[in-house]
Amino acid sequence: MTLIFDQVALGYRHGEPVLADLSFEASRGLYLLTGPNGVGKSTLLKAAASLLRPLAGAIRWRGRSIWADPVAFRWELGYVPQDPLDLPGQSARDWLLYLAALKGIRHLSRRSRVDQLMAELQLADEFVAQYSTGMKQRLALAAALLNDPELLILDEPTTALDLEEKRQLRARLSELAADRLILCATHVPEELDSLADGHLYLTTHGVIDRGDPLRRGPEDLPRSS
Amino acid sequence: MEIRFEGVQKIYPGQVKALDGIDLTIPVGMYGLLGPNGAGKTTLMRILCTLMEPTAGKITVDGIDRLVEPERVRRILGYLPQEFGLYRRLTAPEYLDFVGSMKGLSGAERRRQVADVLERVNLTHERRKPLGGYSGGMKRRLGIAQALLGDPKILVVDEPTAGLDPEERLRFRNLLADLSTSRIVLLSTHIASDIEATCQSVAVMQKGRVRFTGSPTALMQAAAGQVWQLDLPAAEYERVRSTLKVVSARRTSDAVSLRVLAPERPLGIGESLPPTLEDGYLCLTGEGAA
Repeated sequence: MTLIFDQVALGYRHGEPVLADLSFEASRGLYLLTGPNGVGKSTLLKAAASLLRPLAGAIRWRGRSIWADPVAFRWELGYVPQDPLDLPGQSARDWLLYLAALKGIRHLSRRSRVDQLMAELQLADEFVAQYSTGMKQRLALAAALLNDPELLILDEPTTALDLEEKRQLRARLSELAADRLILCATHVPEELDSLADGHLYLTTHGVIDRGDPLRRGPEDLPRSS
Repeated sequence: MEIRFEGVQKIYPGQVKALDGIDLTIPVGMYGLLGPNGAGKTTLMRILCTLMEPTAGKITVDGIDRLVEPERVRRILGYLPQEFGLYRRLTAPEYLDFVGSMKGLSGAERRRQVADVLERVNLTHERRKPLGGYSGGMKRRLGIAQALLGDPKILVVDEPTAGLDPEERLRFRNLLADLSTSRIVLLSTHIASDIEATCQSVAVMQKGRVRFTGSPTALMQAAAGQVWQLDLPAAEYERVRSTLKVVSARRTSDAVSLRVLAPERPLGIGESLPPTLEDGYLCLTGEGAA
């Protein structure tokens, strides 16, 4: 269960790469991705989620390029993007059932999987437009978890959550991290530090792997300038 | 100078009580406002800023009756809302010049203040760049710059640090702290360390009421003797986890290390820990707090 970025260059259109020569390795557990605004954290996560093809280098999951068979890779992937969901006129349950169908979950198990996740994440079956920010964030997490992914990618999941919602998210992430790899971008690392198994600090020069926080405390980490 | 709320109520159509009798006195300095989403923080701020009328109650701002003379309040108040629109093609001086003219500043005075606030928020060197190219942190600083035009005695900032990276957050906090030496700065946030680092006083709102006012240290004390470190085998944790209020958990292959809130030593084996501001808040607002 290892994700490897091997000298990856990322960028949009045909311009200059946003990130060049990115190399890191992450396996089971929760990895926090931090770094200054605009440095390319979301770009890195999109590439890891196979939404953006690298300009150079290779991204490997379980030893195989994610672009060798992207459809098969996406069976094992859950991705929660940064922007909150906006689905006027659709109920949460209908939306999850639809996504479950898209994700290829068999008809017979779809309903039970959706109901199970809605119960676990305390989601009411209402129109998504009536959801609070915290509920929308949980709904996005439920959508990502439909296929019980082994690779879970979260982009700034704590933004806009209140302190109690953050506490619940932490408890949930520590459960989830026990048997999968979670790659999570955050601007407020102190909110998730206590659960992290590894830190990736992204600078314009590429990822600096900061290792296990128990072995290396935040005080000896490089400060960005 | 102070802001005083007395029995302030706001009832939305459908009998939704957004504010249910707010009594609060806010002195000069940084004043933090914490509370769950939907507690009424933004409603309270919008009422203070004359953007919304209360259903009942009294508000005085530096001796001015907010309900009787909203224009006078507006003149001494700057507001940075959670979301604010920007004209992507304007530069910062053009945008601020526009806001300044809306605030009634004229000619030479406006130009002087625009240059001055740009310097204060450290955007002078970005003055030729269109706002569409600004980062989140730069937009927030520009938001403070527009709030500072007219040199208001009171600054109201609604979740200004959401989405800022750690370094920008630190810089922004220092800027607010600096401004609060001679002003009232009312700050709402969901980031506990923002409050710990900068606020002399904090209020916790919940369901339209004020649940707590006092110093950040006093808020921490709300969890005194209720924070525990607990190490459990994974199987044991599975059995008891629904009974625990977990603040954070860290799993190794076969064990779980937990930070837990509980009125008494959980399972008879927890080690007591000193509380943080977040612990205090969670104890105060949690269902199990009673």
